[in-house]
Amino acid sequence: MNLENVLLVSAILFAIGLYGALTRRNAIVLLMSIELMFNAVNIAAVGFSRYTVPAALTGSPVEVTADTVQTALSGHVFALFIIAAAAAEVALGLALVIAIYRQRETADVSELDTMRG
Amino acid sequence: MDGTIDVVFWIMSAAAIIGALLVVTVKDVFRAALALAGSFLAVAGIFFLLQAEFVAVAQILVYVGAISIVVAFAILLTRDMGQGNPTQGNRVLVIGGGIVAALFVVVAGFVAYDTTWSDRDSSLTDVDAIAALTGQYEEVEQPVGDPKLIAFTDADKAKDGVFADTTGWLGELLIRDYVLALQAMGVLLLAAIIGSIALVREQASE
Repeated sequence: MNLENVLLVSAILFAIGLYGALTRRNAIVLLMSIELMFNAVNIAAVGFSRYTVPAALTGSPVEVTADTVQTALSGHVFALFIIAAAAAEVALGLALVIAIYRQRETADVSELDTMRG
Repeated sequence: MDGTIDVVFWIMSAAAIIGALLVVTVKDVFRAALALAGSFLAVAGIFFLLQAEFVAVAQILVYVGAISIVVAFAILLTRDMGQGNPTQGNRVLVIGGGIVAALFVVVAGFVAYDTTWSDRDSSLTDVDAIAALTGQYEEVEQPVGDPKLIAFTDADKAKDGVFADTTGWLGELLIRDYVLALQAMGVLLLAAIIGSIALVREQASE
């Protein structure tokens, strides 16, 4: 287990989500595919946070303070904010799907072409 | 010990990838939602292996506990189960999507394996730095106003570049460096909740 393998898993998950978002027609499955892509990004962020060395800690000897150590955790903070943004996004997205379904009796995105010129 | 972690990592990765594949291939939308929850759980396992226990727990609470349930409710509410999970009728889009996804894996994999990344476990040499990252440290007395210095304490317990406990550090980071983003996130979540309610509320009969 090293950074390369973590990034590879992240890339595979992102590609699967991308494929789903491009090829599925059910709006709810589209949202699920987008969640898969969010997850892939989180894996990459946490992986970088785990394996890279903060610039403040390279070289020897270094003056180690609480601030320099905390920069190593930025990836975790990114992942937490992405999780919160994904929660907001899925709540709004599903509300939109339900509102559209009430009006048009379908969750098939290829039939939602009112705006087509 | 390292071998065990490798095995667990590949099992978790395989579970996450198989779950994701099921999400985009299976015909029944409800089964796709269950596969999605399984995939999220496996990703949480990967977070644990990456020593991000707080992020892993947040992942389980928010993704497995909340988002999966909301998705399941939306599927039940739209009663679109009979239609299933059809692929785009447009062949070009399906083949193009496959090609784009495969190309992305090839390019990203090439970049990941071709770049020389720094590896914390082998390249970090300073004992104080290792101690700080493993939690084996004590704060050095400093005059008021100077940054808090950290010194190495326990040689026996020190592991290589492993956070002993990220929760305390993360809490401090969130309410100090990222406090503005934290507040903005609270406002965003409130706006999302109000927006969802406004969207799905039954209109008063006219």
